[in-house]
Amino acid sequence: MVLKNILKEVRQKKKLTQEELGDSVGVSRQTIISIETYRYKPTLELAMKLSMKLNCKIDKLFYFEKD
Amino acid sequence: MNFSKKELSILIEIVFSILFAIFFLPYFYDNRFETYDLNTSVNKLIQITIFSIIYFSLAYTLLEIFIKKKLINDERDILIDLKSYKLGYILYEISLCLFIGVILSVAIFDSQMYQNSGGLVFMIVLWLVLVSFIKSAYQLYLYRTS
Repeated sequence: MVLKNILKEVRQKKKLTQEELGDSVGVSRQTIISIETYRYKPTLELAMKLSMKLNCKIDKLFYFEKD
Repeated sequence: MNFSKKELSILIEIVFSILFAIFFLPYFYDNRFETYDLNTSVNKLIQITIFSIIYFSLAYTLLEIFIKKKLINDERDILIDLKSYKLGYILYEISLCLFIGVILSVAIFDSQMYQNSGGLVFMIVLWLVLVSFIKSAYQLYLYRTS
């Protein structure tokens, strides 16, 4: 099971840059890039913040995919 | 290559380790068979201190001038810091064992280098520079890959 996300799609739909999204949830642009490219798995706290900011359910934003 | 402010600050540390190794390590190497006393080494200590203050002041001032964005320390930074400091800690533990081993083996091997403070000082300084370099390089690697 691999943790995936649709962060990039949702962010682009909301017309937010990586920097704007990062600033709004208190992380750097590099952290947003790392999450979008699946190189970093966010903590539950950050995932919740992203979910609230993007107005998208957390289980829709982050999901498991079989290998 | 595009570096973030955090990555540049790590690069500053790596460059310092390299400069220290180039400019100051030869002094400790040359004196590895000597016995240190405060009078002979105080000039070198002052040089190292002044060099460090000037280097870091200049480097971080330039960094602040060219990249004005405030440095955010988020959960990813904390995770990377923890991983790199863990590596540094393990290396320091290994060095401590080696250091104790060297002290205990002086009598066995009768090494001229370790019978005076010069050899031990050189070994400690060399290891400190090496560990600092490895820790920073690993930290930079983690920033670029995770």
